[in-house]
Amino acid sequence: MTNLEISKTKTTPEILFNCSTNELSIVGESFPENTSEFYAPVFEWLERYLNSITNQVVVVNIELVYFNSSSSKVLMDLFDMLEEAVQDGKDISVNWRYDEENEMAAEYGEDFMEDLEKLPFKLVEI
Amino acid sequence: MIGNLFHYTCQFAQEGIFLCYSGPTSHDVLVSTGNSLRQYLEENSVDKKRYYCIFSVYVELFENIIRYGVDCFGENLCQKRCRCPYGIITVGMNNDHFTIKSGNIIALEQKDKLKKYLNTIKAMDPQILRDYYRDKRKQTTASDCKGAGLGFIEIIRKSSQPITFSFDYIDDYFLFFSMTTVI
Repeated sequence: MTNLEISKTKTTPEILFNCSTNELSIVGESFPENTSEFYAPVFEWLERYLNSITNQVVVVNIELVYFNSSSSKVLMDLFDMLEEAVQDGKDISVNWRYDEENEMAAEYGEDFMEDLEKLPFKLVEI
Repeated sequence: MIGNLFHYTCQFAQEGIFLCYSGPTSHDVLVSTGNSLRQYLEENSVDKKRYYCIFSVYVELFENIIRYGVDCFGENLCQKRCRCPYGIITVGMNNDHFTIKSGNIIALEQKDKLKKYLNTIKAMDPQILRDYYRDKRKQTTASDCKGAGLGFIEIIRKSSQPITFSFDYIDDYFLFFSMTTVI
Protein backbone atom coordinates (compact mmCIF):
# COMPACT_ATOMS: atom_id res chain seq x y z
CA MET A 1 0.00 0.00 0.00
CA THR A 2 1.11 3.58 -0.52
CA ASN A 3 1.73 6.23 2.10
CA LEU A 4 -0.95 8.77 2.91
CA GLU A 5 0.26 12.32 2.45
CA ILE A 6 -2.03 15.31 2.85
CA SER A 7 -0.47 18.78 2.86
CA LYS A 8 -1.51 21.30 5.44
CA THR A 9 -3.86 24.16 4.61
CA LYS A 10 -5.08 27.14 6.64
CA THR A 11 -7.73 25.00 8.29
CA THR A 12 -6.48 21.44 7.99
CA PRO A 13 -3.39 19.70 9.39
CA GLU A 14 -0.57 17.97 7.58
CA ILE A 15 -1.19 14.25 7.61
CA LEU A 16 1.67 11.85 6.94
CA PHE A 17 0.95 8.17 7.41
CA ASN A 18 3.98 6.15 6.45
CA CYS A 19 3.39 2.43 6.07
CA SER A 20 7.07 1.55 5.72
CA THR A 21 8.31 3.33 8.87
CA ASN A 22 4.95 2.76 10.64
CA GLU A 23 4.92 6.33 11.78
CA LEU A 24 1.68 8.23 11.51
CA SER A 25 1.55 11.94 12.17
CA ILE A 26 -1.06 14.67 12.25
CA VAL A 27 0.41 18.15 12.71
CA GLY A 28 -1.12 21.62 12.58
CA GLU A 29 -4.61 22.98 13.08
CA SER A 30 -7.94 21.41 12.32
CA PHE A 31 -11.17 23.23 11.58
CA PRO A 32 -12.13 22.03 8.10
CA GLU A 33 -15.19 23.27 6.29
CA ASN A 34 -16.53 19.75 6.23
CA THR A 35 -14.85 17.65 8.89
CA SER A 36 -16.19 14.22 7.96
CA GLU A 37 -15.42 14.78 4.30
CA PHE A 38 -11.86 15.84 5.06
CA TYR A 39 -11.12 12.90 7.36
CA ALA A 40 -12.91 10.21 5.32
CA PRO A 41 -9.79 9.23 3.30
CA VAL A 42 -7.76 9.19 6.53
CA PHE A 43 -10.10 6.62 8.07
CA GLU A 44 -10.19 4.59 4.86
CA TRP A 45 -6.42 4.46 4.73
CA LEU A 46 -6.14 3.62 8.40
CA GLU A 47 -8.59 0.78 8.18
CA ARG A 48 -6.67 -0.84 5.34
CA TYR A 49 -3.40 -0.24 7.14
CA LEU A 50 -4.56 -1.73 10.45
CA ASN A 51 -5.76 -4.82 8.62
CA SER A 52 -2.42 -5.19 6.87
CA ILE A 53 -0.08 -4.99 9.87
CA THR A 54 0.90 -7.82 12.16
CA ASN A 55 3.61 -7.24 14.76
CA GLN A 56 4.98 -3.90 13.58
CA VAL A 57 5.57 -1.20 16.16
CA VAL A 58 3.32 1.71 15.20
CA VAL A 59 3.84 5.20 16.58
CA VAL A 60 1.16 7.85 16.13
CA ASN A 61 2.26 11.43 16.72
CA ILE A 62 -0.45 14.02 17.13
CA GLU A 63 0.58 17.64 17.36
CA LEU A 64 -2.46 19.84 17.01
CA VAL A 65 -2.18 23.38 18.31
CA TYR A 66 -5.85 24.03 17.65
CA PHE A 67 -8.82 21.92 16.62
CA ASN A 68 -12.55 22.61 16.68
CA SER A 69 -15.19 20.51 18.38
CA SER A 70 -16.09 18.46 15.32
CA SER A 71 -12.40 17.58 14.86
CA SER A 72 -12.32 16.57 18.51
CA LYS A 73 -15.08 14.06 17.77
CA VAL A 74 -13.12 12.76 14.79
CA LEU A 75 -10.00 12.34 16.91
CA MET A 76 -12.00 10.34 19.43
CA ASP A 77 -13.23 8.07 16.64
CA LEU A 78 -9.66 7.70 15.44
CA PHE A 79 -8.40 6.76 18.90
CA ASP A 80 -11.28 4.31 19.32
CA MET A 81 -10.24 2.65 16.09
CA LEU A 82 -6.63 2.41 17.27
CA GLU A 83 -7.75 1.08 20.63
CA GLU A 84 -9.72 -1.66 18.95
CA ALA A 85 -6.62 -2.63 16.99
CA VAL A 86 -4.62 -2.74 20.23
CA GLN A 87 -7.23 -5.06 21.69
CA ASP A 88 -6.69 -7.27 18.65
CA GLY A 89 -3.04 -7.51 19.62
CA LYS A 90 -1.50 -4.73 17.50
CA ASP A 91 1.40 -2.72 18.89
CA ILE A 92 0.28 0.92 18.64
CA SER A 93 1.03 3.90 20.82
CA VAL A 94 0.05 7.56 20.62
CA ASN A 95 2.20 10.56 21.50
CA TRP A 96 0.07 13.62 22.15
CA ARG A 97 2.59 16.36 21.53
CA TYR A 98 1.95 19.87 22.84
CA ASP A 99 3.75 23.11 23.42
CA GLU A 100 4.27 23.87 27.12
CA GLU A 101 2.65 27.30 26.65
CA ASN A 102 -0.44 25.78 25.11
CA GLU A 103 -2.27 24.65 28.25
CA MET A 104 -5.41 23.94 26.29
CA ALA A 105 -3.75 21.34 24.10
CA ALA A 106 -2.42 19.64 27.24
CA GLU A 107 -5.89 19.58 28.81
CA TYR A 108 -7.39 18.08 25.67
CA GLY A 109 -4.72 15.40 25.74
CA GLU A 110 -5.64 14.55 29.33
CA ASP A 111 -9.31 14.31 28.36
CA PHE A 112 -8.52 11.85 25.59
CA MET A 113 -6.18 9.87 27.79
CA GLU A 114 -8.88 9.33 30.39
CA ASP A 115 -11.25 8.02 27.75
CA LEU A 116 -8.87 5.35 26.53
CA GLU A 117 -8.22 2.14 28.38
CA LYS A 118 -6.03 -0.09 26.26
CA LEU A 119 -4.36 2.32 23.85
CA PRO A 120 -1.01 3.56 25.21
CA PHE A 121 -1.37 7.35 25.16
CA LYS A 122 1.47 9.58 26.24
CA LEU A 123 1.47 13.34 26.80
CA VAL A 124 4.69 14.76 25.43
CA GLU A 125 5.72 18.34 26.09
CA ILE A 126 7.73 19.80 23.23
CA MET B 1 -26.56 55.95 5.77
CA ILE B 2 -23.08 57.43 6.25
CA GLY B 3 -24.38 59.01 9.43
CA ASN B 4 -25.62 55.63 10.62
CA LEU B 5 -22.31 53.95 9.96
CA PHE B 6 -20.53 56.64 11.92
CA HIS B 7 -23.00 56.11 14.73
CA TYR B 8 -22.37 52.33 14.71
CA THR B 9 -18.63 52.85 14.64
CA CYS B 10 -18.77 55.21 17.64
CA GLN B 11 -20.91 52.75 19.52
CA PHE B 12 -18.49 49.91 18.76
CA ALA B 13 -15.57 52.04 19.89
CA GLN B 14 -17.33 52.85 23.16
CA GLU B 15 -17.91 49.16 23.80
CA GLY B 16 -14.33 48.26 22.88
CA ILE B 17 -15.43 46.25 19.85
CA PHE B 18 -12.48 45.81 17.51
CA LEU B 19 -14.00 43.32 15.12
CA CYS B 20 -17.45 43.11 13.61
CA TYR B 21 -18.76 41.08 10.74
CA SER B 22 -22.32 41.27 9.54
CA GLY B 23 -23.53 39.57 6.39
CA PRO B 24 -23.71 36.22 4.64
CA THR B 25 -21.59 33.68 6.49
CA SER B 26 -19.40 30.96 5.03
CA HIS B 27 -16.32 29.01 5.99
CA ASP B 28 -14.20 31.42 3.91
CA VAL B 29 -15.49 34.38 5.90
CA LEU B 30 -14.82 32.50 9.13
CA VAL B 31 -11.22 31.89 8.08
CA SER B 32 -10.50 35.44 6.96
CA THR B 33 -12.17 37.23 9.88
CA GLY B 34 -10.65 34.60 12.19
CA ASN B 35 -7.23 35.58 10.86
CA SER B 36 -7.89 39.24 11.63
CA LEU B 37 -8.89 38.25 15.13
CA ARG B 38 -5.71 36.22 15.61
CA GLN B 39 -3.58 39.05 14.32
CA TYR B 40 -5.19 41.45 16.79
CA LEU B 41 -4.66 39.03 19.68
CA GLU B 42 -1.02 38.50 18.69
CA GLU B 43 -0.36 42.21 18.41
CA ASN B 44 -1.82 42.69 21.86
CA SER B 45 0.31 39.87 23.29
CA VAL B 46 -2.63 37.90 24.63
CA ASP B 47 -1.29 34.80 26.37
CA LYS B 48 -1.53 31.46 24.54
CA LYS B 49 -4.22 29.90 26.67
CA ARG B 50 -6.54 32.88 26.35
CA TYR B 51 -5.68 33.29 22.69
CA TYR B 52 -6.90 29.78 21.92
CA CYS B 53 -9.96 30.14 24.17
CA ILE B 54 -11.02 33.26 22.30
CA PHE B 55 -10.29 31.82 18.88
CA SER B 56 -12.03 28.58 19.75
CA VAL B 57 -15.23 30.33 20.90
CA TYR B 58 -15.13 32.48 17.77
CA VAL B 59 -14.89 29.43 15.51
CA GLU B 60 -17.63 27.50 17.31
CA LEU B 61 -20.04 30.46 17.28
CA PHE B 62 -19.33 31.15 13.62
CA GLU B 63 -19.77 27.50 12.68
CA ASN B 64 -23.10 27.41 14.51
CA ILE B 65 -24.31 30.29 12.37
CA ILE B 66 -23.15 28.60 9.17
CA ARG B 67 -24.75 25.29 10.15
CA TYR B 68 -27.98 26.31 11.81
CA GLY B 69 -28.73 29.88 10.75
CA VAL B 70 -31.24 30.76 8.08
CA ASP B 71 -31.39 33.73 5.78
CA CYS B 72 -34.62 35.62 5.80
CA PHE B 73 -33.56 39.03 4.59
CA GLY B 74 -35.89 39.75 1.75
CA GLU B 75 -39.02 37.80 1.02
CA ASN B 76 -37.50 35.69 -1.76
CA LEU B 77 -34.97 34.25 0.62
CA CYS B 78 -37.64 33.35 3.16
CA GLN B 79 -38.83 30.53 0.97
CA LYS B 80 -35.79 28.34 1.30
CA ARG B 81 -32.77 27.81 3.47
CA CYS B 82 -29.86 29.74 2.10
CA ARG B 83 -26.35 28.38 1.81
CA CYS B 84 -24.90 31.53 3.33
CA PRO B 85 -27.02 32.23 6.38
CA TYR B 86 -27.02 35.76 7.69
CA GLY B 87 -24.98 36.31 10.84
CA ILE B 88 -23.41 39.03 12.89
CA ILE B 89 -20.47 38.53 15.21
CA THR B 90 -18.50 41.03 17.27
CA VAL B 91 -15.41 40.76 19.44
CA GLY B 92 -14.57 43.42 21.98
CA MET B 93 -12.10 43.99 24.74
CA ASN B 94 -13.02 45.83 27.90
CA ASN B 95 -11.39 45.84 31.34
CA ASP B 96 -9.23 42.88 30.38
CA HIS B 97 -12.25 40.81 29.32
CA PHE B 98 -12.94 39.68 25.81
CA THR B 99 -16.59 39.60 24.84
CA ILE B 100 -17.79 37.71 21.80
CA LYS B 101 -21.35 38.27 20.68
CA SER B 102 -23.04 36.43 17.88
CA GLY B 103 -26.45 36.82 16.35
CA ASN B 104 -28.30 34.94 13.66
CA ILE B 105 -31.73 34.17 12.37
CA ILE B 106 -33.34 30.88 13.24
CA ALA B 107 -36.67 29.33 12.38
CA LEU B 108 -39.29 29.66 15.10
CA GLU B 109 -39.48 25.90 15.66
CA GLN B 110 -35.78 25.71 16.55
CA LYS B 111 -36.28 27.84 19.65
CA ASP B 112 -37.68 25.50 22.30
CA LYS B 113 -35.13 22.75 21.79
CA LEU B 114 -32.23 25.19 21.65
CA LYS B 115 -33.37 27.10 24.75
CA LYS B 116 -33.85 23.93 26.78
CA TYR B 117 -30.47 22.57 25.71
CA LEU B 118 -28.59 25.78 26.48
CA ASN B 119 -30.23 26.11 29.90
CA THR B 120 -29.35 22.50 30.71
CA ILE B 121 -25.66 22.75 29.86
CA LYS B 122 -25.40 26.24 31.34
CA ALA B 123 -26.53 24.88 34.71
CA MET B 124 -23.88 22.14 34.81
CA ASP B 125 -20.83 22.64 36.98
CA PRO B 126 -17.47 22.40 35.18
CA GLN B 127 -16.69 18.81 36.14
CA ILE B 128 -20.12 17.54 35.12
CA LEU B 129 -19.89 19.51 31.89
CA ARG B 130 -16.51 17.97 31.16
CA ASP B 131 -17.90 14.46 31.68
CA TYR B 132 -20.95 15.30 29.57
CA TYR B 133 -18.67 16.52 26.78
CA ARG B 134 -16.65 13.32 26.90
CA ASP B 135 -19.79 11.15 26.95
CA LYS B 136 -21.23 13.01 24.00
CA ARG B 137 -17.99 12.74 22.09
CA LYS B 138 -18.08 8.95 22.47
CA GLN B 139 -21.60 8.72 21.09
CA THR B 140 -22.70 8.67 17.49
CA THR B 141 -23.91 12.06 16.39
CA ALA B 142 -27.65 12.83 16.37
CA SER B 143 -29.16 13.01 12.90
CA ASP B 144 -30.30 16.65 13.19
CA CYS B 145 -26.78 17.67 14.14
CA LYS B 146 -24.59 18.91 11.33
CA GLY B 147 -21.47 18.99 13.48
CA ALA B 148 -20.44 16.86 16.43
CA GLY B 149 -23.01 18.57 18.66
CA LEU B 150 -20.23 19.69 20.98
CA GLY B 151 -19.97 23.35 19.98
CA PHE B 152 -22.05 24.93 22.74
CA ILE B 153 -20.41 22.79 25.40
CA GLU B 154 -17.03 23.86 24.09
CA ILE B 155 -18.12 27.52 24.24
CA ILE B 156 -19.35 27.22 27.83
CA ARG B 157 -16.19 25.40 28.91
CA LYS B 158 -14.07 28.21 27.49
CA SER B 159 -16.03 31.14 28.89
CA SER B 160 -15.12 32.74 32.18
CA GLN B 161 -18.65 33.97 32.94
CA PRO B 162 -22.01 32.28 32.37
CA ILE B 163 -23.16 32.69 28.78
CA THR B 164 -26.26 34.77 28.11
CA PHE B 165 -28.63 34.38 25.21
CA SER B 166 -31.91 35.74 23.93
CA PHE B 167 -34.49 35.28 21.22
CA ASP B 168 -35.97 38.34 19.56
CA TYR B 169 -39.17 38.21 17.58
CA ILE B 170 -38.85 38.92 13.86
CA ASP B 171 -42.16 37.62 12.51
CA ASP B 172 -44.34 34.52 12.71
CA TYR B 173 -41.63 32.34 11.18
CA PHE B 174 -38.28 33.67 12.32
CA LEU B 175 -36.45 34.70 15.46
CA PHE B 176 -33.18 36.48 16.04
CA PHE B 177 -30.99 34.37 18.32
CA SER B 178 -28.12 36.10 20.07
CA MET B 179 -25.52 34.89 22.46
CA THR B 180 -22.84 36.59 24.55
CA THR B 181 -19.69 34.89 25.80
CA VAL B 182 -17.08 36.48 28.03
CA ILE B 183 -13.52 35.18 28.22
